[in-house]
Amino acid sequence: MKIVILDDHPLLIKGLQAMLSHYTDINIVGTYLSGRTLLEGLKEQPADVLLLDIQMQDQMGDEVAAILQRLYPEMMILVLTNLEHQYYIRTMIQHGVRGYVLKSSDESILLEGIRTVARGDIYFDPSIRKEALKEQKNSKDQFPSLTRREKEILHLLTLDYSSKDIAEKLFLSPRTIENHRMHLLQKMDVKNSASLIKKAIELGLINMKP
Amino acid sequence: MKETYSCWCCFFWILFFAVVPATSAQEKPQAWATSDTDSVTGLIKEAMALRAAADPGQAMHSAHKALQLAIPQEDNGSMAEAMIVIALCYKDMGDYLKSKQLLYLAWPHCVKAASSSKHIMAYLYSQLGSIYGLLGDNDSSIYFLHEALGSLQHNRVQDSFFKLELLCNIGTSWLQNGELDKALYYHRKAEVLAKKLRDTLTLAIVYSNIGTVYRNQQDSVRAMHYLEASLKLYQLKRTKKVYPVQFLYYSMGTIQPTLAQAIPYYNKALAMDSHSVNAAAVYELIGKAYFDAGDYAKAEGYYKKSEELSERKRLEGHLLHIYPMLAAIYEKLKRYPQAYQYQSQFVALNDSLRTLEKNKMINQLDVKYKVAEKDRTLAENKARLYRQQQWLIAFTGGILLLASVLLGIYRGHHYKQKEQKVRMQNMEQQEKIGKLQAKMQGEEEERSRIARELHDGINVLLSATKMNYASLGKEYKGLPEAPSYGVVMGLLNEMGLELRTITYKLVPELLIQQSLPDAVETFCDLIRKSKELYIEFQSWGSFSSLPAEYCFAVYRVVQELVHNIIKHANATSVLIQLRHQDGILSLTVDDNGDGFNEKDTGIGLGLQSIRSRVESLGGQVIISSTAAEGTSVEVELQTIRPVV
Repeated sequence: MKIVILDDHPLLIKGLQAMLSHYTDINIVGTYLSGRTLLEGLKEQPADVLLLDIQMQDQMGDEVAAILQRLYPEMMILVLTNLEHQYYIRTMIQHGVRGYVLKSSDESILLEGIRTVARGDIYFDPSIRKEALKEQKNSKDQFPSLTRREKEILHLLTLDYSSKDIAEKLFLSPRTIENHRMHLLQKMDVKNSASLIKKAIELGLINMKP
Repeated sequence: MKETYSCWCCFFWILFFAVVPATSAQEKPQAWATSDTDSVTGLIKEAMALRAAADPGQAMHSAHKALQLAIPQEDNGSMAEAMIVIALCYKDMGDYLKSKQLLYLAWPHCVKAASSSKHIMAYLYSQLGSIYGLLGDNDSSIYFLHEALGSLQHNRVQDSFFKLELLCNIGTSWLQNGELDKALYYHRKAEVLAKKLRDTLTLAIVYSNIGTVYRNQQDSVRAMHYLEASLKLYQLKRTKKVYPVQFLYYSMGTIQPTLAQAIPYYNKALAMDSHSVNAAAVYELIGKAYFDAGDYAKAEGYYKKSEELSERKRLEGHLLHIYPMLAAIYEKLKRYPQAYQYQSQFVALNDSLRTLEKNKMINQLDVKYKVAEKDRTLAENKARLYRQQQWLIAFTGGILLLASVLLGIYRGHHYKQKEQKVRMQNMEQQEKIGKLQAKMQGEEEERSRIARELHDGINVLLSATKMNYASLGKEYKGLPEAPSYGVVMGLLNEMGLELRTITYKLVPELLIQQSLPDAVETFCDLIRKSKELYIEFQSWGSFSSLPAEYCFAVYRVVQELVHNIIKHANATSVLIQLRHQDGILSLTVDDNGDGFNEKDTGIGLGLQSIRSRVESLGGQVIISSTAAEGTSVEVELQTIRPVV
C-alpha cells in the first residue's frame, strides 16, 4: 500500500522511513513538512494512507484533515501524534480520521494501525482507547446545579420582578440580567419564564420564603 | 505605623558576601597565559584574599595596583576583575553608590572579556543584583539576579559556590519583596548547599536571613534561634566584618518584647560602630519606641541622629520614613514650623522619588500656612489695638484667636498628613499588584513555553530516536539478541513514560487557546485527583471564536481562584460555570467555604490582581462573600459591544 507522511519534524520522518522500510507491504511514496506541500504532492502522487501529525508550525493537523476529507475522501488518515487529550481525539474524529496512534507507542502498534485503517477499519492506540471511547459528558441526564446568582435571580423572578427591577435591585446591568434569564431557560430546558418558575419550584430549587 | 516598621526591617537584612568566586581563581592561569599578567593575576588574588580577611582598605589598594598594570596591556579580563573587586570593597565599606558606579564601569570590559571567561558576565550581574538590593531597588535587583542565573546556565558554568551565592541572594530578594515562603525556600536550598560545601561564613549569612524571615513572620522563638546560630558561626570564624554582626544584634533587638529588653542589643550594635546604615536603623528603632511611649523629646534626639546618618549616606528610602516621623514628633511637641518643614521635605522627596503630582499639595500646604500666618498677624494687630483700650480683654482675645489659628493649622496639617498616608498606601498597593501581575505573566509564559517545548521538541526527538534504534536492530541481524540492545530500548521506553508524567500536568496549558472549556475541565480533573475537593464544571455556548487574550485571562482567573479556595477557603465543594452567549463571557466560581472579608486578608491581593486583569479587558468582577456560607466570584466580559 502507498503511504504518505506529513510531519514538520524531519528527524521523525527519517525515523519513520527507516522503521517502515523493512516491511514489503508498505511503500512510502512521499514525505511532507507542511500541509501546503502535501496538497501539491497529492495531485501527482495519490496514496492509500496518510500519517498525519497534529501540532505543526504553520497549519494544525485538524485543518489539514478537514481539507483532505473533502478532496480525497478515499484516502485513510491515521493520526500520529504526541497529544493524547480527549479534545484532540474528538476533534480529529470529527474531521474524519480513521485512526489515532501515539508517537511514543511501539512499532507493532503503528504497523497494526496502518494496516487496519488501510482496510477501511477504525483503529485507536490501546493506551488511549479508554479516553477515545469515553462519551462526552452528558449534562442532560443529570440536572446541572445553579450558581448562587442564578438562584437569586430565579427567586426574584418568582416574585414577579421584571429584568429591569432585578437589575436595579442587584446593582447589575439589565443586559447582564437578561443574559442570566435566557441562560436559565436553557439550563432548565424550558421555553418561558412561567414554566421556568414552575419547574424551579417542582425541583425544589428555590424556597418560597419571602 | 506598622508599614514603616516592616519597611525598615526589610531594608536592612541583606548582607555581604565573603565568597571569592572560585572559578575566577581557577580559570585565570589558562585564560591569561598569553601575556605577562602573572603579577596582575597575583595582585587580584591578593586583593580577594585581603577582602576575605575583612581588610577592604588594603584589598582596594592591591586591586588598584592590578588595574594600573592591566590598563596598558588592554587586558579586559583583568581590568574587569580588578574593578569588580574595588566595587566589592566599597560595598564592604558601606558606600553602595560608589560600588554601583564601579560595576557599571566594569561592564564594557566584562562584555569584551566574556569570550574567554565564562563566568564573568554572571558574576557582574550577580554583584549588580546585590548592590541594587542594598540600595533598596528591588525590581532591578531581581532583574540582575535572574540575568546572572541565566548567564550561568547559558554558559553551562558548574560552580557550586557561585550558585550558593545566587541562591542566597535570590532568597533575600524575595525576602525584601515580602514573599516569605519563597525566601525560606531559597534559603533552605542555600543552607543545604552551604553545609555540603562547608562554607561557614555563607551559612552564617543564610541563618541570619532565615532568622529575619521568621522575625517578619512574628515567630520570635525561631528567629532568635537562627540569629543566635548565625552569631555563633561568626564568632567561630572570628570574623572582623562589622556589619553582619551588627545587623544580628540589631535584629535580636527588634524581636524583644520591650524596649528595656531590646536596649542591651542595640547598645552592642551601636558599640560596634555608630556611623553605618545599620546604626541609622537602630537609632530610628529606639526613636520609634520612645515615640510610641509618648516621650517625644527623646524620640526627637534619636530620629535626628538617624536623619543625619541617612542624609550623609543619601539613603533616600530611609529619609522617606524619617521625615514624616520627625514631622509627627514636632507636631506633638507643638513646634509647628519644624513640623511643617519636615512635612514639606518629605513631600519634596516623595515627589522626586515617585515623580507624582505632589507639588500641588506643597502649594496648598504653603498657602494654608501663609494664610494662617497672615491671620495671626492680623490677630496680633487687633490685639494691639485692643490693648490700648482694654488691655486685659484684648490679651485674652488675642490668645483665643491665636489658639484657634494654631488649631486651624494643626488640623489642616493633620488632615494633609492623613491624606498623604492614604495615598502612599494606595500607591504601595498598586505597586504590589503590578509586581504580582508581572510575576504571574512571567510564570504563565514560562509554563506555556515549557509545555510546548516538552511536547514538541523533546517528545518528538525521543520518538525519532526510538524509531531509528528499532530500525537499526532490523538492519543488523543478531543485534536485538544482544542484552544491551534490550536495555537501551527499555531505557528509551522509560524516558517516554517519565516525560508523559511530566507533561500530564501541563496539558491544560496547551489546550487554553484551542478549547477553553477543555482546558478548564482538565485543570479541574487534575485538582479533583490531587485534592479532596469536589468541583462541578459547566460550560455553555461556543468558545471557538474567542480571542486568545480572553481565553488566557479566564483560565488564569479560574486557576487563581481555585488555588485561593484550596489555600484559604476551607471549602469542600466548588461550582464553576463558564458561559459565552450573546456576546457576554461570564465566569462564576462559587465555593462553600468559610467566606472572608476582602480587606483584611492576604487573599485581597490575589483578587485585586484578578480584578485589574479583567478590567484591563473591559470587564468587571463581582465578589460576594458570606461568613460560613461561602464566596461567589463572578466575572463578566463583553466580547461583542452591544449595538446602541
